[in-house]
Amino acid sequence: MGIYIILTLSLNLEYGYGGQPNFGQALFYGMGAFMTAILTSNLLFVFTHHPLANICTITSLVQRESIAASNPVATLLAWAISGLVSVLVGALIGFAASYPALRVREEWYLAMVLLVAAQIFTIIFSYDASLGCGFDGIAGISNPFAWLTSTSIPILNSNYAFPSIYAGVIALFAYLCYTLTERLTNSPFGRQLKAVRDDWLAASTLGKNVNAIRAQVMVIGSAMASLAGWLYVYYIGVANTADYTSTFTFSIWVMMILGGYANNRGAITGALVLTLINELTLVGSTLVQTYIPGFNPNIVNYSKYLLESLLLLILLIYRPKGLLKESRIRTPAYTVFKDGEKNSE
Amino acid sequence: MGRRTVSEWILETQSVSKSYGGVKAVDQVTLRVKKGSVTALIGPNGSGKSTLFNMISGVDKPDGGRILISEKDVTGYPLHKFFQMGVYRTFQNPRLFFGMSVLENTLLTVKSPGDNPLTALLPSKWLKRELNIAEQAKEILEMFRLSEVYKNGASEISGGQIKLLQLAMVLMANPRLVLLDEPIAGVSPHLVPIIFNALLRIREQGKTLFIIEHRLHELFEVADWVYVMGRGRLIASGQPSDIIKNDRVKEEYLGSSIV
Repeated sequence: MGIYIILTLSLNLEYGYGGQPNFGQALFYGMGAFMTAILTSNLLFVFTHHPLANICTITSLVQRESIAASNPVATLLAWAISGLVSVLVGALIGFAASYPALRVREEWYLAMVLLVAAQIFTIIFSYDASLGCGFDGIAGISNPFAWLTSTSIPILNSNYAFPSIYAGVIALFAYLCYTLTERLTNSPFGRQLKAVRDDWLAASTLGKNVNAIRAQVMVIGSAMASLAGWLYVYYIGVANTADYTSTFTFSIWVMMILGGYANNRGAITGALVLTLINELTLVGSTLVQTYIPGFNPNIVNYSKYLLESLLLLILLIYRPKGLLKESRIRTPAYTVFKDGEKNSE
Repeated sequence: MGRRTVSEWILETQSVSKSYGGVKAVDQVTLRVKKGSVTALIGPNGSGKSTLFNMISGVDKPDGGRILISEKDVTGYPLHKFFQMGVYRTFQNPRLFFGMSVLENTLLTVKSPGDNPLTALLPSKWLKRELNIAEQAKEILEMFRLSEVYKNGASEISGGQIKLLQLAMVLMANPRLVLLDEPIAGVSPHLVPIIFNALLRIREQGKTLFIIEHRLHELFEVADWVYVMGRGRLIASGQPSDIIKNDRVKEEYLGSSIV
């Protein structure tokens, strides 16, 4: 949930505010995820003085799970370092991706370039086992708080405590990303961003360095997406290319369109609505499986695609700009005018 | 044009040319604009006026020739550098940011420390500047009777108001050379004097105005110097009173009386 919020906020910053259609969101998200999985697997061995081994074997998987279950220092250190590196790598790839963006004046070419790049990424990581263990993915990335179970602290050592704590950490990061994007967009920078989106040529004649602004927003957006990838791998326990497909990118797009462009609260609303549909259909399919024997539960589970598409269609017809309206760039400049209105009354 | 010291000219073009698919839109145009003057650029449709403006403002790069702004060769500079050199350009079809409010459009013309994404995160670094420029914007918008619509989107105000907003943005940006592409075309008659008053006020502040306009009667009242283009070439230049009498100019305007 928090992860979807971060991804939608990131896409909204890039497209809603900056007008940069990123069809490769899964690329930045997946890069963060694989970077995390590879780094964590190796770092855990380094910190515990184990010799480095092939991270794809079952033995090494079991080994790193046991380290994560018993050694809090190594686990948390690996968690933090892989997070930092993922964000940096994400920012770097974002910068590299902005490079073609500067060459193509029509921003939809950028969309194509990134879509293809994301496809290439999944294909390479799926078929080249030396990079990310191929189709199996890199498994055995334990929850960074799994070691709590081996402690004697009451309540915290239960099997429910550590996932809840980590869920809280994800929520905290989502909140941080929200405050970050709110600050970033409600500022002179946010104003420039929208200006470049509305008319890059006019923005350029007003002295705005359009290329630099586009690069900046791509760097920030993709760093956020990689952050989400880092959080997700530690949540789900595996980095698998199946999670980072273009289909996934488009579900983030649906969340953004649903919530409303250039509105950070809209992005969160979109992410919430879509996650709710996903969860409800999942619960529905489990219920069907239990109480209606012989009925294929997948029909309920997959109905989410139907529901999502239907919702999107209805919305595009009746509220093409999303659930929430585009927000103004809220800076204190408006208060100067408000004061004047009060004085004249 | 007598020989004067170089520093008197804010803009010089030297044999500037531009072709589009074999058609010479601008052919070897050499002209100079005096600092602090109101200079007019006239000519029939398709004579290359806007193309020349595009090159002077950096929107298009010339195929040949040089452009000097305040004696500095700026040929081939990236577009945003022209603004930083003090050149402000308006477009024939106003190019504003229509997804944004009147106030936001106005504020966009000035720099702020918060333009940088890193300082944008620290409001204390740009708050003071923001309030200062907002005060300034308020004064200017009041001058153009736009202060009541400051919150409105630029797409929600009238065509005349859009033309006024363009000029408000010019004042706000405080440039040295203003290139105006048809500032009164399609404007209702009662707005014309307001716009010309604004132009004179901009000139009073020591700025140079270079104007393309078809409504010559109004334009010649304020212009100090006139350049006439025809089929991509410069065909005449002089004071407004001389240009009215010029036969070559009359001929280019298809024999019709031009004023």
